[in-house]
Amino acid sequence: MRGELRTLLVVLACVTVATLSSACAGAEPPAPISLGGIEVEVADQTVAGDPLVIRVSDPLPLSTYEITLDDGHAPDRTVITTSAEPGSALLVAFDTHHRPFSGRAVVTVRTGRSLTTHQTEILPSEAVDPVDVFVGPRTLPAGSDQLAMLVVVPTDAAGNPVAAGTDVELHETRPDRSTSTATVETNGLLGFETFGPGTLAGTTRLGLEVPDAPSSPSADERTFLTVAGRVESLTLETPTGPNGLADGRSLHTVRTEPIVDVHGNPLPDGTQVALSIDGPDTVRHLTASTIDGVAEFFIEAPVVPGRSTLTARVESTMSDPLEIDFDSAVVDLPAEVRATDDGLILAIGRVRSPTGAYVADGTAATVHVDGQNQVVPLERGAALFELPADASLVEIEVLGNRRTIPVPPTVERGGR
Amino acid sequence: MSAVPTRLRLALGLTVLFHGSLLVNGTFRSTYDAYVHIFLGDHYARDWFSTWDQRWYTGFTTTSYPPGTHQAIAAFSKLVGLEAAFVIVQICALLLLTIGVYRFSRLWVDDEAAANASLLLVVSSAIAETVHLFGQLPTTFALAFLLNALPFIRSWVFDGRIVDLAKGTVVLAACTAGHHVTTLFGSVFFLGPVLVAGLLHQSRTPLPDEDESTAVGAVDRRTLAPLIARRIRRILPAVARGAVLGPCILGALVIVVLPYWLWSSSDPIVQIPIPHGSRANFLADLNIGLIFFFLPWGLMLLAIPYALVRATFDKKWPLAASILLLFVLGTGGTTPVPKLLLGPAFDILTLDRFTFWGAIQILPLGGLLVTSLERGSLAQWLRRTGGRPLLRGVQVSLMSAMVILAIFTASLSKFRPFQPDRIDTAPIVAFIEKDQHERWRFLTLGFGDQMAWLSAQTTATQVDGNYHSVRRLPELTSTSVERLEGAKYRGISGLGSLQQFLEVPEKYHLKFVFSNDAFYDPLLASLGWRNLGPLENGIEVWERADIEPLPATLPTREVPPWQRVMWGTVPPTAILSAVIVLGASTLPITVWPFRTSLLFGPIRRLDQRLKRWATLPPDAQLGNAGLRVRWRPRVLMRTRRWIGREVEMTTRRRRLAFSGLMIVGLVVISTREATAPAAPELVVEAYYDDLDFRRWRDAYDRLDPETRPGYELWRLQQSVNGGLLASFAKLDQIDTSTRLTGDDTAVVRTELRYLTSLEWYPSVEDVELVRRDGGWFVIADEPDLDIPPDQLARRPDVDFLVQGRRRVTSETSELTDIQDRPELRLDDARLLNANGRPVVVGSVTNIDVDPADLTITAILRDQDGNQLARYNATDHLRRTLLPRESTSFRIDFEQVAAGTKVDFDPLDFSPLEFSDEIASVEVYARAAVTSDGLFRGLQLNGLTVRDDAIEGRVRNDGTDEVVVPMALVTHYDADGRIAWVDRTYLADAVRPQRNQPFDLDRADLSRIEPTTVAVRGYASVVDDLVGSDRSTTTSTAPEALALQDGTRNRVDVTVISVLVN
Repeated sequence: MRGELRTLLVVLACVTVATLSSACAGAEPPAPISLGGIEVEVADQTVAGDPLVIRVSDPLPLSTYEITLDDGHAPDRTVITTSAEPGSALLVAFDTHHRPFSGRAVVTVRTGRSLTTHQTEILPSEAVDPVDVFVGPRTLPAGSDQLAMLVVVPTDAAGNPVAAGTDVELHETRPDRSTSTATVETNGLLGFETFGPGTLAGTTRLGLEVPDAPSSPSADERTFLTVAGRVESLTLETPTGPNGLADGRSLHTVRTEPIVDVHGNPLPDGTQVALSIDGPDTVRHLTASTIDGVAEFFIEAPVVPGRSTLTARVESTMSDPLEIDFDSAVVDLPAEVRATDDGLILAIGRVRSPTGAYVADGTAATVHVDGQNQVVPLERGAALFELPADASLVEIEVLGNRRTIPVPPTVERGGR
Repeated sequence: MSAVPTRLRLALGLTVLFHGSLLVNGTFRSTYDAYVHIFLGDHYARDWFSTWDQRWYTGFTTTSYPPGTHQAIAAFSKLVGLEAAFVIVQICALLLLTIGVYRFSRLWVDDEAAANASLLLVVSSAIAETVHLFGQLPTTFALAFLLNALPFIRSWVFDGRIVDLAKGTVVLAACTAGHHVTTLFGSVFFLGPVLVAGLLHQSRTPLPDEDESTAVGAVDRRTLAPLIARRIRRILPAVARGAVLGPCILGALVIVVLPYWLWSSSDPIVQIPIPHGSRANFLADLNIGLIFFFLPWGLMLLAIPYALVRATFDKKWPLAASILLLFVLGTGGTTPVPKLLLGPAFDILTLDRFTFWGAIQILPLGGLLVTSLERGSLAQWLRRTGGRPLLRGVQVSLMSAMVILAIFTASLSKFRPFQPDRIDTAPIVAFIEKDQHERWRFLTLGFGDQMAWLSAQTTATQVDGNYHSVRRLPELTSTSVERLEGAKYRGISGLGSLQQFLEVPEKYHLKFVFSNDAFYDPLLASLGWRNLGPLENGIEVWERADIEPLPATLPTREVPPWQRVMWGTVPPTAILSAVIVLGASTLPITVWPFRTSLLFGPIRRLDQRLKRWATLPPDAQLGNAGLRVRWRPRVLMRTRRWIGREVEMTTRRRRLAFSGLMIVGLVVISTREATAPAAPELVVEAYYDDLDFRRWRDAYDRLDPETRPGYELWRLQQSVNGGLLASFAKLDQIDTSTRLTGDDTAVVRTELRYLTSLEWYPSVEDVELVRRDGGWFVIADEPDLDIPPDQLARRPDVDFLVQGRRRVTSETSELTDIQDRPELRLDDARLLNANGRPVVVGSVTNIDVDPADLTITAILRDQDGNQLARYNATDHLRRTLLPRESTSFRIDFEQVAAGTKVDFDPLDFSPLEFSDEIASVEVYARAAVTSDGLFRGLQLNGLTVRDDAIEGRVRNDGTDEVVVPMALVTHYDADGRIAWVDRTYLADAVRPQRNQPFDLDRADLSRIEPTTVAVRGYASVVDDLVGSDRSTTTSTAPEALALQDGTRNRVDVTVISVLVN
């Protein structure tokens, strides 16, 4: 009973003294904080990873001290029961190697009903590998005013961004293999640099290191591409060789000349180029992807002979028209009307091409009779077609070649 | 219970042998509901006291279904796994049901008939269907407890045994724990007749203190009141005990599943009615009638007349009335009576439950029939009519028929599958669990009810589910589709519901689709889903790019803790208690044998008063108490005398011979009808039906034998014709009209309507037929003679490979492995008023050097900036753009997925109405780098624009077949701005190096008007797109063919490869 009374009186006295003296005391870090007879010393700054020492002077014997470090993450509590003699200091070291987060932290020392707090700052340590680097955008059109930006965030072993003013060396290698070096100072936790596209398409490689750190930490190489910009002109190659045949099926190759931008950079592979064809029978529209700047088209021959006009386009750039002629694919169009037991039969063929071969299977023969058109596919250059019994005139067209056959009145017309 | 009859033991043994062996062999896997219950069992196995499950419908409450059976499955699953647990619980339910039928039957018939009833249950087609076709575990589980509760309840009401009140209540509580509807309706249909019959019997039984010598011989004005008082007095104790019973039943119904009632009152079902076969007109659709009426009744249909007559005249008319009522209710939409009786509940309840209950309730009378056929009056009549052979023949035939029907019903799914083939879910689960795929939602297509089994094996979440009463997503509640994954069975309205999820998948973090049905491939491809290829089990995996994962914490709506504790303890306690009660009742122990008549207090005073009122006047005419006048109609008496008369042998033989001739004649006539030559239109319909169901040989046999090619050649010709109609369509409707062109030739105009996952496809064909040897045959089409020019085609191409994660790691992707988005340019965007609905059109260009997978979103806002609607461009665009490629687009705001202020008809496809509230529009264009969907082999070979159509030819210059080509048509106004965007899927595939003609209907632009609503675009830069001079800056999309229409305005046509082989 006497011991507790004594303790109570001491505590009350300390509270009174502390209250009076705190009004007069100035803040002289690292002046010990005393409350109720407890003097606490805490360093104002500590480097992340180093122990943070908290000294409690003149701890009360057999008292329990609860010391907390709150760095904005989950509080780390350490509860100590003193066994020191009165007058001996109590030392507690927080291992910031396990709590290495930089920034302001609050140390709280509590015993019984007494409480004291102290702010300290945990500073980042030196930069280590790897350094966080971000580059974007991936691609820049050559000669454009767009920029790529590199952002670097060196960090210490705990992942804390390093202190402001840390130098970072940037090494740039351009598509023409020229190199340059620049120094960037971190500010506000990061450093950055911008890069223009240049005029030569290719890959720009970026490397960096933090020279002042003991291990000169670095990062993986970063790149961005300079790609072809605006297309200046577009030209179709004139095909060599004889004219094609208007057979409606053979394929003819037409290419563009290498498509480059104003700086001579070829378009990236896969760029879409369109080809419009205004032919003697109809219009056509094709697309192709560039490979090494060249787009290659496979155009189907028209079904009637004549001239086809070709125009290529990529975005808003158009080529000059290219004209290609297709000759007739039919040498001769034999046909006759026969009377059979089943009625009038129109026998077409064998229709041959200038090479002497039959026209291809499936070639359409259009038969016009009695004001109606019917399409008959040719097989090995020939086909049979049933005519109405009262037919008098038959028109046939195959691949743009026409022939009119009157039905002779002397032809016996069998019935069915 | 008295000594167990032999037949009851036999019934129990047969239940295990027959139904148990079928269950162990896995019949439940082909049922509709088994996996749903297994899934819910899995829920409780994972967390017994949880009432919220995230895995379906973005989360749902499990207090929406009584948990008894599911908790039983969960408990057993700790020992034997989920499927085995289901089998165990189902077998236990059947055994209990067999006993229940026996005990219930003893309330109506003698022991022998009751035992026969339990035997009939084993071979009942209703049970076979419910267990092995429907998988309705709670139905059998709950009914088992209900039937076992009835004897206890009857004993309390009519004998006053207090302990039986407790027993009956406990067992009834277990019934509720299994399925509350059984308690609710069972109290009416099963308990009601028992109580009514009992009351009637008691009203005729004199009380001990009544003087039998005062039995009245004639009822007149003076004796009527005393007689009524006498009858009331006789039943007064029973009525009083019934009044006590009422709250007990109510308590058993409410308290056991109180959280369910609280949930249903606070969160009422908003689901529109989902059609069910049990509500159909069975005469109009015999297939449905077979499943929901004829099969469950089975041979008991023949017993109904006997049962009703026998029950009526044996003073069992309450039972007969209940059977009759259940019979009528089970007819569904065949008669108007069920709808009249049930009112709004008609559209919510599935009426097959009434048929099932009727088929069970008739079993006691069926047992009587069996007894009669064995050695009763029917047996005697058969013996007198046709001798012993006839009797045995009938007995064996009926018994065989019942067994065969039961086997047939149980195995119906084997030869008429209701579910897709069994799916091995292990590869799917493995896929979900790797690479953190469970951070997104998935959807299954074509899994049937196996989707529930998949859900039971993973914690990943779906937008779909298999219990439609709990869904709250407006895209689902507004539709009559039972499951999204079976959307095609509901036609276009069903597909529309599915489409909403696939069109705006980011809304629900939906990223993966597991498809077991190629029918949906065109739809998925057209909406920008990418096929990752099949898993080891053949299931195709589709992925949508650029979808954000689910948040780390999903919202839950658990019920209050006290309800969760209640939900996890009360139902299983009720079941366990009921099992203990039933088990204890088999022991020769008498517990608390006390009875009560409840004749105390006001009831006693009433009894005394009634006793006074029952006093007869002194001069009342008395009758003979021993005389019992049994009233029977004369017809019945004469029929019985006719049945019982002796019949001569010659007469018997004559009758047998005549019966035999009748049967043979019927068979002959039926055979002749079946083999008669079909008319031309029937031949055509059968031909297209064969093609639709891939019955190639049958279809080939309908071709003209003299002109058709060989079978192999013909099959080859069929196989090369691919495309939307040939490969992904279902024939929905066919109409034919025949025109004879000669004695032996005909032309059948055939109008076909195909359902595809994209839209309806109507088609009109003139099919020529020829008659040979009395039969009509289809003349085969001429083959296509066109052949490509080159035997070997070489085509240069550029391949792209998006590496993804370059480092092998199970961590999330590194930043350096994530491609930043391709740059886009919004060339144009404007809001149109299209026939009263808002539509956004525009065009976008990929100005980057990498291929881009587009997502274009439009948001409509009001003056205050509040969002009115939000939707994506779906299939009115080219989904992937190569570098420097452009596409036009159109965004329609469809149904509920678009906004919140929509009222619509779910059977139509009503989009959002145009409103003056729309003050501004925002259009967002974003893209992700892709290496898929980049086939560009299609060329336009010729176009002609007419007033009503655009004709042309498409050529495939590539080396892959384009299975589903699409034409995107962009109309411009006189100012060069986009006036409309339309698209048409071409019906046929385009093979490599070949041409395909097409014919597109032109859109009617007369009711489409531009608006002046401000449009702001967000692509790589923010752009105000309204008011700027787009006619000079908008260039012709180089990949589109520009034409002039009749008004000399520009029309661009682009052909797109939606699905490439």
